[in-house]
Amino acid sequence: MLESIFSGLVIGAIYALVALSFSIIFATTNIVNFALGEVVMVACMMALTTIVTMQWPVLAGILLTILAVLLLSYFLQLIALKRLQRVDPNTAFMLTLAAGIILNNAALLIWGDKPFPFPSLLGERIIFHIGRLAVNQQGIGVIVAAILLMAVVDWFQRKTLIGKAMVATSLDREAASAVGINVNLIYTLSFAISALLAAAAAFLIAPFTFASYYMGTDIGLKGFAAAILGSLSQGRGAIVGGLLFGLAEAILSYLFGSNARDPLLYLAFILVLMVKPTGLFGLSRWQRLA
Amino acid sequence: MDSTSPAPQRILIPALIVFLLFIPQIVPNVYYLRLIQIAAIFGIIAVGLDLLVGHTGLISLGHAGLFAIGAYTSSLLALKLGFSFWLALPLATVASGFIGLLLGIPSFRLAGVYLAMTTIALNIIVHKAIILMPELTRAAEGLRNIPMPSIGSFTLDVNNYYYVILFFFLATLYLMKNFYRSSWGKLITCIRESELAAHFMGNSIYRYKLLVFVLSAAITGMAGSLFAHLMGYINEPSFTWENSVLMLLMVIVGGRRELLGPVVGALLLIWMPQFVQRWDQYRHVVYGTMIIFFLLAAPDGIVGELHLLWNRFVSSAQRRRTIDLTLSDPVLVDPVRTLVKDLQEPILMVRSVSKSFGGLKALNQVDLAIQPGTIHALIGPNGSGKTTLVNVITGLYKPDEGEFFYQGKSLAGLPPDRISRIGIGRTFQTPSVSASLTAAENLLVATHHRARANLMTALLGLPEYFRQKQKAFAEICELLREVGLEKLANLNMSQLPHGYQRLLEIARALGLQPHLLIVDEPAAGLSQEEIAHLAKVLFNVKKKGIAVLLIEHNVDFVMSLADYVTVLDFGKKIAEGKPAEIQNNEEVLKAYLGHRRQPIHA
Repeated sequence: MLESIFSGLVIGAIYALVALSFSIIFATTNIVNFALGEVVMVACMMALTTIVTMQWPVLAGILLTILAVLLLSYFLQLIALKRLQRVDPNTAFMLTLAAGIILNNAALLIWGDKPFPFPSLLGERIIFHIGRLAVNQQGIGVIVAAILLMAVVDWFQRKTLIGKAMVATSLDREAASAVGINVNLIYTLSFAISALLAAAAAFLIAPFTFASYYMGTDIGLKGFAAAILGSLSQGRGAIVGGLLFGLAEAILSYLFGSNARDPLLYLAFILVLMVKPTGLFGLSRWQRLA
Repeated sequence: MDSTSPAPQRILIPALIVFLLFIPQIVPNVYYLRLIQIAAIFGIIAVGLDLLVGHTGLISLGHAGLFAIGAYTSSLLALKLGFSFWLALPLATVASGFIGLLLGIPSFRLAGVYLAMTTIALNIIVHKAIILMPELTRAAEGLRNIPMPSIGSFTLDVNNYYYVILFFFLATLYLMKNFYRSSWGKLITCIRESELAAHFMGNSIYRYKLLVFVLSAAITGMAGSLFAHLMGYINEPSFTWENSVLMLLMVIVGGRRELLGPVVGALLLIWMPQFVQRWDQYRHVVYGTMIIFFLLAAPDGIVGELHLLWNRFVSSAQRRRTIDLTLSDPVLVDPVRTLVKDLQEPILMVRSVSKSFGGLKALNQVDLAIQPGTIHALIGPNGSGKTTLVNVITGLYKPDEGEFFYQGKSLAGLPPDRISRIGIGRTFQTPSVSASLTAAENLLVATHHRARANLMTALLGLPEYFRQKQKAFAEICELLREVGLEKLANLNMSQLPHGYQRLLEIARALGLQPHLLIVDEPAAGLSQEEIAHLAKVLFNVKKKGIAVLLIEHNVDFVMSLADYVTVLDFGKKIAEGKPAEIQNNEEVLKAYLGHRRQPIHA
């Protein structure tokens, strides 16, 4: 049980990162970038190719991956927000869904359908024991890294001028534009931050799940669901949603086995929304509409 | 006022049906005949999905799950309990509709795109449930020997099962066509284009989204049953959420909001794999590219774009005829009907209402009493809290403190649609009418909840529904006469100038048969003639006995029309009285002009 909770926290920290990447884009642009899961996958496969296959230095591999992911996210933004004047959330959703499908298929054609083991970038030495639970560097590292990243993003959004401009843009695009905020730049920035978080999630999760062309779909769906569970429009809510999602997944897996895990998890997700339709920390829809 | 089908359709449709009847004679090959039937089944699903995606603006990525519920319910009833197809199919339809209802309950309290996630969740649950219950579903191995339906002792084969599918296919198209032409159809269009307006016209958005989702789910479940009995064999790979994406693609490729669009999309996407080598390897790239191509380059889909071309071709002659946009004189219609009997008591009482947004006090202890049959103006500088007050009265915002009574009844905690139905109509600062509907159709959205039409009679297109519709249109004509738009009833709102949209909003609010009409800056952006026209309209409204709360910046307009004036500044009421008193009130002058001590020369 203790092991489940720990691994739940680890995977939850990763879902929280992905949920936060969804929320950053949604909060500023009001659209969902449904290809985010596939961005995580691309980051994983790029890192794998450079660091493992081509034997690049780790740092160089990571840098190149980040560069590639930033380019990719810019490309996604171009597709989703083509007509910036009237962003239709449904169209943007379907466009990013389509882009995700293409990325997924392209990865299959490039890297094949086999999962690859991914080296732990954080080390696997066991640090300490709690009862029978062995806590290793990787597990602790994921949690610490995720918390650090999320704290930085949270600080950035709340305390810096650019962060405040992002909040202003999300509240009223026209008014923000009128006071001199470059709305396009803010959109690009939110896509970029989101992509960086997705890349971080990729480096952190790959040692656990292996790297494969199909890994992104699952992470993307769960990150999106976790963001809705917390609050898609508020970063902190999304983070808590991610942690809860990871914990629930590990506990359900412990109780009912890994086969029954996903359907029960999604069932719980729907049931929670029945009770708390706006997510656990969200605003009501009329509040958002008004 | 209902447009009849144009001549080419009247010939084309029967011809098409006759052609469809002879397909089994033309296509003797069983393989291709089955493929046609699969395409027709997916056509049914796509038509049902278009109801959500195209018409209501909701994305579902779980229709393969609903499809599975229909298919497995029907097959298991037939295989385990020996039910006949004719009983299993309706039960499968109901089962799928019921699951749709359960899923819709949490989903439609959420913003639009969230539905995509809850429907994916449903699809994953259903798909995994199939795999996890092998004793029931036989998982990957699949259910076999699902029987073909029989009539008496005669069992159908693939050749005559075609006619069963054709029947349900045509029936679905017929029902949907009727639905889109009914007031329900106009209502969901309004929900898609201006959800807030539809809500303020007395309609529970939640209920109608749920209705549409259940309908769509039921149609998909029925298609599942048809599919299972056609194939005789079903297994889990047919029901992954990837197939839900395929269904969505059919709608996009064929054309959203075109009755036959999704059918064309289904036909194309079911047949395409037949012609492409190594399809499985590349199909996702093809799907994704098609979605992006159509959404960006041809958003109306194949049928929609053809339709546009055809319209351009046919109407080029008509377009030279300019549209006559003259307003007719507003008419005072039926002044007695809405007169409030007891003229002593205020129609609306607002008592010390406050509302803050964060640190900003938008309303601070505001009192207001509106007498029946008067025009009561609410003025004040920008940001003084006028629209906030309207939003509190009409239920959009909850006040932090204070209460308000409509004809002595408290309105506390009621949602906007209830308040509209009780008798407060409103317009919006930025007109929010449905651009793709005609003037008359826009009004149907306001009269819909009162018409109490029966959905079944509307879907089936029974004469009773047309009688009701006739009645509704008679009322709508009156409403249009009241604002002087009756000659423009059948023009699309996108063809009408801005000022006319404001007039239509007033007619729409009057369609609620209100006792209080709230108009939010109706004169903004209007020409001098339009303002004069508007004054006449509002004056008539008052003569009918309806109280008007007029929010306006145009001082001349207010002073000539209002019986009472209330002035707000920084969320506080600073003055109240007859127009002449207000014009010389020092507080008001200060608020508007700073410290100049000269009266306004209105």
